[in-house]
Amino acid sequence: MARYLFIVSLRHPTLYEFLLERFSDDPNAQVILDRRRGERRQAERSVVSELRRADRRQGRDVSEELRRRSVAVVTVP
Amino acid sequence: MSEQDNLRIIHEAFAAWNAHDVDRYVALLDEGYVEVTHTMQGPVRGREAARAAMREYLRVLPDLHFEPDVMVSSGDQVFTRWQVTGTSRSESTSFSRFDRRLEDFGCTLSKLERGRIIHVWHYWETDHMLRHVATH
Repeated sequence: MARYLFIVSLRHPTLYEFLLERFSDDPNAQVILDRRRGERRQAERSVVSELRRADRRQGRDVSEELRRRSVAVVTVP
Repeated sequence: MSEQDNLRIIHEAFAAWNAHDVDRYVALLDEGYVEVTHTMQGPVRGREAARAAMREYLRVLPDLHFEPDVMVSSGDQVFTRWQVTGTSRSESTSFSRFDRRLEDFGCTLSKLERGRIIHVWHYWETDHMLRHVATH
């Protein structure tokens, strides 16, 4: 299980591609596109569920954060 | 170096930028330092080129200030998300007076080796502020 989830806004695909490449060998980091309002890949559903749980635990609204910023980082306990 | 050590070094790097202390920043860099900004052509290579690039930013944006709001360390990399503000001293006629007070958001991924910063990649969410630097 990754320690950090980097959730990148759909508006910033260049950032997503870069972080995906840079963290590809790092088991502690996972990089995903924020697809919660769009089409979701099956493989990402578990990550999205985990994100929602982390969101609730940390008292944060990641969706709101991603409306303002390119990327949100969630620490997975 | 531990992840905590790497975090400390990147905190120090942002502190040096905010103090506008070029020597303090350059002292944190490896000899093989490479800096890439995704919208700008060509990387900055080496400590002296980094010194020149930082001086140029501070010349055009003399009150440049970074406010990191997320910083995480994993392995040999540190990710930082930031907000940046500055007032442009650009003399270009392509910018109106309303362009002079600037604000942008972005992030930086830094790679460290042996206690030095060896590679950084900057992502600016818009090119609004960078255009002021690039016109000089």
